[in-house]
Amino acid sequence: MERTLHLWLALASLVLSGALQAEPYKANFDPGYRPELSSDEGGFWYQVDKIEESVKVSPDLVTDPALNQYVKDLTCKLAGDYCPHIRVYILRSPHFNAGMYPNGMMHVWSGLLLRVDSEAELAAVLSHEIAHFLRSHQITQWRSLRSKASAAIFADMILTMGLASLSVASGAMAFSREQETEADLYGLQLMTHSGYAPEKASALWEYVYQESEQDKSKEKHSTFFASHPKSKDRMTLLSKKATEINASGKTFKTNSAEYLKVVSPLYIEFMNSHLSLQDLGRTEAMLERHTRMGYPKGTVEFFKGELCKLRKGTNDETQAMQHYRNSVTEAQHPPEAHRELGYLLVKTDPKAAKQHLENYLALAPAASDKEMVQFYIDSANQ
Amino acid sequence: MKTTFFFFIKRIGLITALLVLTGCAAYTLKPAGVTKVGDMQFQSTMTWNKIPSGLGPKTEVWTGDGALLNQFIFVTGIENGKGMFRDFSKDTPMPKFNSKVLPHELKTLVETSLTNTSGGKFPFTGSNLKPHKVGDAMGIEFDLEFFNGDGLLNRGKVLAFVKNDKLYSVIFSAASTYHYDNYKAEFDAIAKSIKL
Amino acid sequence: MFFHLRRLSTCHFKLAGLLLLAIIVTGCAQTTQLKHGSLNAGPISGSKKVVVMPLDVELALLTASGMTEPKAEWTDKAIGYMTESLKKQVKTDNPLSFYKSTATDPKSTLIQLEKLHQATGYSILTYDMMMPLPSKKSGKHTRTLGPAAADLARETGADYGLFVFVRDTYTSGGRAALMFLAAAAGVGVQGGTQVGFASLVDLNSGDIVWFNRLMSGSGDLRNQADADKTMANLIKGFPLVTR
Repeated sequence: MERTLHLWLALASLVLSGALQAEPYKANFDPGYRPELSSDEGGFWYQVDKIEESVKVSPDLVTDPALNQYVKDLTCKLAGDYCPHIRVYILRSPHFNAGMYPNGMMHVWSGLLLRVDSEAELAAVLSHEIAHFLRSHQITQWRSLRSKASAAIFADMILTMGLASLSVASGAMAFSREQETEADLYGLQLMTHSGYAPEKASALWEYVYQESEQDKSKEKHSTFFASHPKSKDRMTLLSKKATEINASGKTFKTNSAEYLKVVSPLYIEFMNSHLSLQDLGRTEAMLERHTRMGYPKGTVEFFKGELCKLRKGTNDETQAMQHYRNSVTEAQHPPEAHRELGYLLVKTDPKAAKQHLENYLALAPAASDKEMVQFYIDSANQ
Repeated sequence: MKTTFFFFIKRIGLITALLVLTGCAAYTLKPAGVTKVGDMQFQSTMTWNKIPSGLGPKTEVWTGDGALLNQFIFVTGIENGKGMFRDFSKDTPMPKFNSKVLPHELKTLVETSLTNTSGGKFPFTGSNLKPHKVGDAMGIEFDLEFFNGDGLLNRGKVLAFVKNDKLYSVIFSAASTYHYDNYKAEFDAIAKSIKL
Repeated sequence: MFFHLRRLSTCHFKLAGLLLLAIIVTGCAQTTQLKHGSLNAGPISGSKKVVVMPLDVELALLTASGMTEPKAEWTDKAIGYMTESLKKQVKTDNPLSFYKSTATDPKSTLIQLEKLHQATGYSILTYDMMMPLPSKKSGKHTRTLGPAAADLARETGADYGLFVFVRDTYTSGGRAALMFLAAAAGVGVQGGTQVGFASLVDLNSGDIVWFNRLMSGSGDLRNQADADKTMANLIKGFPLVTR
């Protein structure tokens, strides 16, 4: 207990004094470490290994080879000697999150890839997670949780016959503030070591924070912020540290175009999964960012149309039509833009509707909703 | 996960409560033949069991072998401005039915409503959208596919239509292995025979 | 980090559900032995080949705070003991074979068969054993995995597949003390419990021809002798008879 307190104080003073350049961070285990199976840590690993088995066969696994290779290579670059012991899994989940498990399993969620604007920003997140791993934060956190038989857990347990524990176990795994700060700074060290622009770390948190402010329902919080407490201090610290590093005169890379090239082929799939969240405030913020980033305009405009269609406000139908129109004037656009435009015109302009629906079928002759579309085309003929 | 977990506990809790209240008789036999759910009449060709529906007041759930394996959800007479099912989560309220919708828009309504029974966690996706007439009412039919919380692949079929400004739907889903093939003809039989 | 993945957490809540089921079952329903239909259809010739599907087993410690702490060493050893018990206790003319799936596609027949078996096992527990569905009370009641099971027969050359599912929690000292206090106050607190089921599937038809469930507050899988007892309970009535 006393030792923990000392560590806490040491870390706190480290942060407060700004003595940040001091010692570079080091991992606290050697590459290839495995705990004894009989230890408590061994039990934890065993559980995580089982999770990994199910992730391998999860229907949510994104298998696109180019994207997987890209994220894997970047992780390897950042993790150095620890690269062979980290396994990256890209998962189709629309929330902004990434996760690192003590056995070396790393999760990157599609929702994160939709928010990140460059290789440097992706490097910032991956470095942060690798830092949690290298400093064994998960097992430390799990041990402290286990030793704490709090009154609340007790009460819950009696009420629900011990079953409450199961949900508590998943929710309470959030890292401490000190661990987060350490992961931030160690992460910064890893990403700059590989030559990525340090200011992109605070820039990404800044964006994600702005986006969460757009969340119309205040009940909803990013799952990332649930486990990574939002804190102005953390952003400030990261940005201050970045300024210091940049002052050294070294040049760093951002690699936005490289990133966009790899993620663009999956953009439509990831955005469709994002729309299922029904979180329109966030969608709007993201689409603005995507426009600035330079994702294919015809596709971004299509999703702006989808956003307006879902929003169902007074002027939204008109706006949706405008976005779909913008989309179809681009050389590269989803055939669905024609279909949606056609559907919106059915009541007011059957002739134009018919034209767009026919365009849709011409562009997507094997569409599974062909019969439905044909029904509207036939109705317009009558 | 929390939603799912508590949803499950709630469901078990509901069954327990029913057990206590009704002395273990919460299920009703639905023999093959002409039958009525709400004001929707149709003809079934197999024996089914009506089990408690936690989905909402205008819904009824039938199963052959257990709800995890196969089920029919009947939705009868949802009024303008109301959701198909009760709200399961504050964050993902049920989309409201608008009686002026065009038929194709019912697909998103059904998909989102089903998805929101899990607080948005298990997405239901439809494909093969087709027009489907019930009497003089224009409606739609489409296929469903989704994984349940255990990774069991489910497939299904949906019929939805609007009659007298009210929404009606028949939703069939079953484990893709064996159960879907075994019961899909029943969906077609029911869908074909609906009268209001 | 956030332990949130829809497919990953279900083992926990299913376990919770099963524990609750155990409570309900002991409360209300008369536990039938499922004599009707395909379940426990009768003796089978011992010359048939049986393949054992990967044992789905997890041992955990229930701590005072109510957390279940999976015990890797216990689980690994238990699987070893249970495998030994099966070899000793399941009498067949041919030696049992043990299957390991190499499929990774979540939609593949083999993975979906395992998932379907799990869902079917839950359905048997929930409905057949607890509150039978009215349609299943009369006539032939078959629980089946369907014709896709033949894929397993082709791959393994076996006639029957034995599926085993067990979740086993043990009570820590602190937890035991709490149970005692709670009982004194008239509140029930769940202690360590063994919950599980085993079934034998005819791989040619997919029908479950034998099913048995295990619910016990006292079993132990942490040593060979007690594991033998537990397994004897679980495979009680196993239908293969050797000459």
